[in-house]
Amino acid sequence: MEEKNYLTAYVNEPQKVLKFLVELLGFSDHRHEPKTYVGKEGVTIGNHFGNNYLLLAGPVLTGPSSKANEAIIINTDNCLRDYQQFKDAGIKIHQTPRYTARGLELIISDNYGNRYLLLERRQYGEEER
Amino acid sequence: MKKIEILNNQNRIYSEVSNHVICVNECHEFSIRLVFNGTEHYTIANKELSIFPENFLVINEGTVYSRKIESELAVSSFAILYTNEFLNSFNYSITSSEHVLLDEPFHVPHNISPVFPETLYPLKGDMMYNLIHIRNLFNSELNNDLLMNEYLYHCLFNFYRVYYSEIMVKSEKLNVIKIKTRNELFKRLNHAKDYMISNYNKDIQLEDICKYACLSETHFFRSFKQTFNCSPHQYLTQLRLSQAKYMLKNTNYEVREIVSLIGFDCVSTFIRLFKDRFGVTPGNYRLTIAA
Repeated sequence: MEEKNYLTAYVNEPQKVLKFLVELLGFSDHRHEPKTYVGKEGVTIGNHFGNNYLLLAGPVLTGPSSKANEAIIINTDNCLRDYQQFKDAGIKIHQTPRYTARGLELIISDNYGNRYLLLERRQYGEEER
Repeated sequence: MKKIEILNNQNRIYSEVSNHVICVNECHEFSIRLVFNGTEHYTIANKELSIFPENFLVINEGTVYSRKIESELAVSSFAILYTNEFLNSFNYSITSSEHVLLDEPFHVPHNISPVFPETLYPLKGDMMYNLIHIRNLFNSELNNDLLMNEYLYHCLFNFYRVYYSEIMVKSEKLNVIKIKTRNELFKRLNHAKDYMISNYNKDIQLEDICKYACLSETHFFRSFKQTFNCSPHQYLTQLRLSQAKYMLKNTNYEVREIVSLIGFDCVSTFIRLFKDRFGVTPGNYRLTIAA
């Protein structure tokens, strides 16, 4: 059995974000499954590729450790397809797809002040970086 | 088996899987052409070019060309044809300054189409990734014009970047002051490069390449090194090793068969060069891919 990977995402309005992720970004809802992680607090769990899971936690609001404004990185296998779907769904696009050293990425946001960086990772040769 | 998709804006995507094709004197819009396996041979103005899965060819609007596939295994060839309007509009948007675009947002120059060198370009990086997405969408049953045009736009954008790095940057490396002379020399060097790519698996000699490119051996050797940062022999070796890597990954040929197919004489020399280039022996590379 493959090990599940958990990534904690600090967001505003975790319950509403869950809805956003499930209904608009294609995540699946795993709230009711037995938790197989320890030592991490998450309000809900969303699933993306394979065994990668998101733990949606409330924002860390004070001090330099605040992570509420950081974009949550979500891996995708097709950034342009997602971009088209987001436009069709009326999701706010912060940054249209652009090419970076790690692949093709775009940034969207939900209605609660959270930003998501959709990343299609690509492997480039040395001379293409 | 042929399949053509015509988008609402008249851009076209063309796919064909066949082991025998002969088309003579074709003439279309600007197109990007590639194969996903095997080889397709093109003739453009007496110049013969072979497309392999690791490169692609562009053909300008109005160029007359012939193409041929003769293969035991079916070859999957693929072409994207852009309308003049789409190409010119893209070119205008990417080459004009922001204030021009703001002043004349709907202007599309109709009479000035960009003309690109009809040469073999490396198929890698974003160009390769986006072309694979295009093929997957094309092969699916989804009719999504908007998404397909998004891909086509990005594919053109990727091509402009390849054009910039392969043509603009490399031609600048030539130590020739007169622009006209530099362009002519670069054109001939590209002929030589295309000849090497198209015949990489044959026993080609320096004098054959020079004759094809219409350059003396010393002039060719010096200019080639200036432009491509390696000698013609090193370039040919890299080509062969890259093809070997492709075959190790995508075919079941044994190493000794691959050595023969890529034009090497000696298996041990091939293994040593492969390891020097990629840091792993051919056998171990295949094992890593399979794992």
